[in-house]
Amino acid sequence: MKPLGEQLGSLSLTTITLTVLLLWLSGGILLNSTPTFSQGFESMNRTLLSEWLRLPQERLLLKAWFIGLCLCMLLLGVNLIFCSWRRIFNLLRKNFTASKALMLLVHFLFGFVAVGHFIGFMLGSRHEDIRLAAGQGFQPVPGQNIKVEKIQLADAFGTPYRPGRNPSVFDLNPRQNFAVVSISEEGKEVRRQKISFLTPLRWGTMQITLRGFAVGTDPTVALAISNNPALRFFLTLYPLLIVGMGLHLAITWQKKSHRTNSLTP
Amino acid sequence: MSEPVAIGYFLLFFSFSMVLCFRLLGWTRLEIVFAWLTLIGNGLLLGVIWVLSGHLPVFSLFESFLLTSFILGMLALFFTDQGLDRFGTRAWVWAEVILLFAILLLYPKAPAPERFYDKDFYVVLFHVGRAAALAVMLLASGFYGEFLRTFRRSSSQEDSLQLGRNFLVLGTILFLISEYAGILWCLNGWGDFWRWNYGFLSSTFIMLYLMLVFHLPGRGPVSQRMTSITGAMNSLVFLGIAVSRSAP
Repeated sequence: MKPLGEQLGSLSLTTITLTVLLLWLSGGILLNSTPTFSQGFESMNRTLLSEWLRLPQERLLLKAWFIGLCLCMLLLGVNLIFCSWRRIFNLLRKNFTASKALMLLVHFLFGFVAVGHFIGFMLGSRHEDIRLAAGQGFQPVPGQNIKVEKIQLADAFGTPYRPGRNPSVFDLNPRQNFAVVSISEEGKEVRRQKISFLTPLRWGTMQITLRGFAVGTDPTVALAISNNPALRFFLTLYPLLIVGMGLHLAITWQKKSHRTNSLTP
Repeated sequence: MSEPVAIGYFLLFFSFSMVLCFRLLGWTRLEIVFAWLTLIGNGLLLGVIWVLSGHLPVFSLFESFLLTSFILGMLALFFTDQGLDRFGTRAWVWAEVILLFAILLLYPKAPAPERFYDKDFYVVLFHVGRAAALAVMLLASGFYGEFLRTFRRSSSQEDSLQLGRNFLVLGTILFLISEYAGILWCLNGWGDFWRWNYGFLSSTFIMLYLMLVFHLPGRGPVSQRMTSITGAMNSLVFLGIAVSRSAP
């Protein structure tokens, strides 16, 4: 019987965990396609998951699915730590090669990217579908105020609006349909910017995104106000992971070995 | 506008079928001449769609599969062995191109409608990256298929396995670039880099599947075969998800 540390760091465990994760994710895809659970997934999009897990009205099966997904990822993380630990010593003691070191780095980066992803689910804040007319404001945290200074709404993509229906941002020219938003801290304006679809306002770790317009006598904008403390960390490490994989591929392109499929160091 | 595009599509479908026939018949010279002419035609059709629609031809399954076929065809001409083996990797690749065209029979043969966001860099990169990743993964499947076909029969089988692995890793890198562009697109448009929906869950499925292929344990022939089978199936998984995301 192999020691527990060796089992936890084995490729067999990686394979089993990944297979379970694939099955688990397939279950999630199936749940997402059913009308009963699709509302629950929408709710996951609107709320931070740390808050969503505490919502009593959400279905238990969906919560169990999400917790199962997290547990599988945790097992994959434990497997990565044990496997890397063993391979670091192996690398330092006898078989140091650039490709092995690089691949170890790629695995570390993957681990950090996954952690950054998880932090984004759990920490920070998220306010979706905040509807404001020109002149109205919203306080995401005490002392901070977000105010819509101006809304400009032109015709949608060459066709006038249908009465009673709000236009989709996909059909609106962002140059002609936008809002001007300002951020104040302790009563002092610190930022003012024009925002349109795909052009949000970023202030520190906070982002104000224009998600839609509502027509009427007093037009309003639908805003998403999010704050993800791990975003920069995640967005920096992800491309490094890609570059690391590219370098590893370049080094090993010609390599002939028995384990040609292996990406592990 | 869509009628000439549809005619172009059917001509290309016929021409690629002829290329495959010539390959299987062992008429290599004719195959290469026809392949080049067809790929030039494929490139022209993509150019016409680009000019007529005002956006890069990547915004519908019809457009992106045409681009995938073009990239895949070019890769086949440059990276697969011309050889005398009629059923070699190149035959696999031409068969895959035919499969892409056959799937498109179910879809409207017309350019995607123009949208304001189709000039956004991240949106374009996401779609181009996906088409390129699929093409490279299909090529990898061709090499894995060749490895399985010649298993224990050919001295070049190790090369096929190595090339299969190389192109699968390259396809993974392109897929990750596309995903990163998608993350930035989502962040700018929805305020977060992740959504709990079919699109994101299915992309994660592809990524986990790729991780599974790269982490299969063992060193012997059984492991090599398992790697080849799962590696070859990867492009089918990707293809299936791409089709399911764009119901006709």
